[in-house]
Amino acid sequence: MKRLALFVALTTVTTGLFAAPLVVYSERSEQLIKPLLETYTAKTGVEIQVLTDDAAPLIARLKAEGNRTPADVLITVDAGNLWHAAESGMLAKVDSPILETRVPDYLQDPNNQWFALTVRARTIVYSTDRVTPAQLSTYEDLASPAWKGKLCLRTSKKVYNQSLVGSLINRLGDEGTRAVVDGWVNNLATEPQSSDTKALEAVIAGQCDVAIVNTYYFGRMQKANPDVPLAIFWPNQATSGVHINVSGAGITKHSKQPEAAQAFLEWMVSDEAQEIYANLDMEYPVVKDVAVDPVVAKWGTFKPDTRPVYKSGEYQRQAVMLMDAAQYR
Amino acid sequence: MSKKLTTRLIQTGLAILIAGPLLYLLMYWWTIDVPLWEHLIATQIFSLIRNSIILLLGVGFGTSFLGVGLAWLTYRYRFTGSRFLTGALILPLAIPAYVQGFIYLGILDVSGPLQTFMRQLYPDIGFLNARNAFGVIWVMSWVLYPYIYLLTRQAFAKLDRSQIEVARMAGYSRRRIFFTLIFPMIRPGWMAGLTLVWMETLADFGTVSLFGFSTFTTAIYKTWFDFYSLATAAQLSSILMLIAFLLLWWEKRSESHIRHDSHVTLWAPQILRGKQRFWVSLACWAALATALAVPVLQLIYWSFQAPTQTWQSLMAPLRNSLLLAVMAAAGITLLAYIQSLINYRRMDPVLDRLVPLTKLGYALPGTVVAVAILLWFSQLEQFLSHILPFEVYLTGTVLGLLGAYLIRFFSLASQSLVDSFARMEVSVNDAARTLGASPWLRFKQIIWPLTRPGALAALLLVCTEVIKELPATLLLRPFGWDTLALKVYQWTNEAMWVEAAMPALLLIITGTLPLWLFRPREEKNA
Repeated sequence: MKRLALFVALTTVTTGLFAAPLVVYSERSEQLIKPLLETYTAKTGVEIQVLTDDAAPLIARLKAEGNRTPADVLITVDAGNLWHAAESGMLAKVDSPILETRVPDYLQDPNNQWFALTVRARTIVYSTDRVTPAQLSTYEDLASPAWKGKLCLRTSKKVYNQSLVGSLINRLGDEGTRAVVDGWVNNLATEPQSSDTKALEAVIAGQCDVAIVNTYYFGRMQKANPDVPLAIFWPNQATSGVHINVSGAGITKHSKQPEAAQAFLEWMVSDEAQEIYANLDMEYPVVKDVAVDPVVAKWGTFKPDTRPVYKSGEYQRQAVMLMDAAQYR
Repeated sequence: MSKKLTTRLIQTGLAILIAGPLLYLLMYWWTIDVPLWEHLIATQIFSLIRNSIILLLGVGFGTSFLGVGLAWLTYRYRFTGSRFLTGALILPLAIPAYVQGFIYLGILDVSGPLQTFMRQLYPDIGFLNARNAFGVIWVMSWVLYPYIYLLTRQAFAKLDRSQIEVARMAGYSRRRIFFTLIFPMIRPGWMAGLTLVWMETLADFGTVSLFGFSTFTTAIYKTWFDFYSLATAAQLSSILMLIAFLLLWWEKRSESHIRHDSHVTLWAPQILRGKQRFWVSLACWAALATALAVPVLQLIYWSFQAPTQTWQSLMAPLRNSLLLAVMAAAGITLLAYIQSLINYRRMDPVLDRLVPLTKLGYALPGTVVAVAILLWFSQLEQFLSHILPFEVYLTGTVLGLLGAYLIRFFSLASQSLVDSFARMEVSVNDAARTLGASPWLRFKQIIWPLTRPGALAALLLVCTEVIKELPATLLLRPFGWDTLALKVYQWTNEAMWVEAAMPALLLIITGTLPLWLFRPREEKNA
């Protein structure tokens, strides 16, 4: 009897939520999403609960929970992670003309299981003291001997670099990419950094002259200190375009309220939400003509690589193996 | 039910409860991703093992040197501030290793103030890389030494003077006395501490990745996060478990033949004067400054630079951290105590072998333990929901989270009790029994007084550790149960150290409270 009481107590604690809030599993850090969710709640009255963690544990949790999962929406910060979630059958197909038309084709899953919500450009940032933009051209060119001892890279363990190398494999094939990565490793001024921020700090300190980073890391720095001696260069403008990645979302396969989840995702690509969402962390909106942060606007426009982003998921494993073999740590 | 059966049931139950989820990982050997294994073996596994060994040796030496050295100085001598230092030297335990890591990296790295200043003075000095084995060993030694300090200090406090006096009169050198007489007496405590240090070192992922130092654990994360092969990650984890098991077995084996007299002549501490006093004081104060003052001052400085943060927003996480810590510490210590109580007489060699099984959780990376628990719980939930007329949930409940802490930190509590129980003389208890003392009276009069320091140590260590815990809390917490560690992670995840400073500072302050409450005290002058 006592045991029964315990179980009853246990279950009521967790299932006694009658209003059924929308549950979001998010890889995106809480502070970069909370304001957006609060706006939605204020507008529609729909409560939202968030659980943040890395993508891999979140996907493992979704799998383990199966049809008992409380989650309705999965948000991740990389197309590779979304691709993997879809691949392992954790996401539902969404039939939404709004998402379909507002999100460009190359930023969504061909099977409509996920959609990008923001775009993040992975580009070259250089020291304005020691480099002129004329010296720069492409990601591939950073492998040339001219940059020996002048390059800083974040660790290959970060998915952003895995996606970047994945896009190179997509374009240049295995051998061509290996030559580029070998060149990069050869040109490194120091062991790869643990974060984009650390790589930028090393450029400022003078340990290296160029780094490949996501723009918003540079944006945060420039916002804090407008005189920071760094500038953005948009590479591959004559060829493939700037490598981009996304943060995006899908609806979980076992969501109990897929309509509510869909309404939420559709709101996420509205002009209003896009402006809040992209500017929370100085990213780019997926919807055209939405205003960006003034700091971001100053960097100008660029031609993005419009190969479908889901490809980075497909190439991820190959990319990691290639970087391992090239001793890019 | 016979007494023996009861103890067996309790022991086996505990072992299943705690080791179950971890042994569940073994099921993943069912399928093997051959190309991935080939890739790992061809490109990295051996250098990662080498790195892990370097780290274990380095951190083992660093923590032993600091831990035993500081315990000895504060036990043996009285000097400026020795009373305060005796307690304060365990406080660095409240600092999560990765927080210490990002602070020291910030200070020592090429873009840090130290090197920037040096380059301004001497422009030709170049760039010294702090992101290497030495950097990791430095950081981890300064956060992990308190385990050894705490546990060896307990042992020092019970050191028998008479033998040493005899040896001294016989003309033994100081060094010889230390290594042949004193060291064997503190060995159970030292080894219990070292085992904890090593398990935590093996499990670490946050610190080593900050320093770009790849270890065996890095491979576990790589296979899971980058190759999406949870199976291979589980397989690698089970290898790590095997190493931990051997480590615990080694520790247990050497511990078992040490028995001590309970009536010892205690040593009177020596009051230092002059030059000696100066140097010993300097050494201990410098240690405290490096381990605690530097990181805390840096965090205070950063806190002022982060205008968007408020203390108010941290109050709910603070309450959650405290609640979870107190509940977990009480429960885990109680269970570990019961286990030690059943075990200390070592009458049942079969059950004795189960003990190391219950300690494995501490040697695995937190995220792996968390996911193992998650998988275990979801099986359990489904099973229970099937046989019961209602749905049962463990994942995302407080109870589930406490279960996770139990699995992860049971070893910590039980290691803290090792020394106390190792010192208990079976004969005293037996004598009392012969004299007709009831079990309760024997417990109250003999066992509890002797083991109380160990129990308190267990309580405080678990408390502090739960406050620092991240991966299991992240994955298994109920909605809204954000803790301070989570608030730190939220910013460090984005490499925003300055914003992370305020929650980190509060976390450290909170973690030092239980530590200070139960700090080791200076012995009264005999």
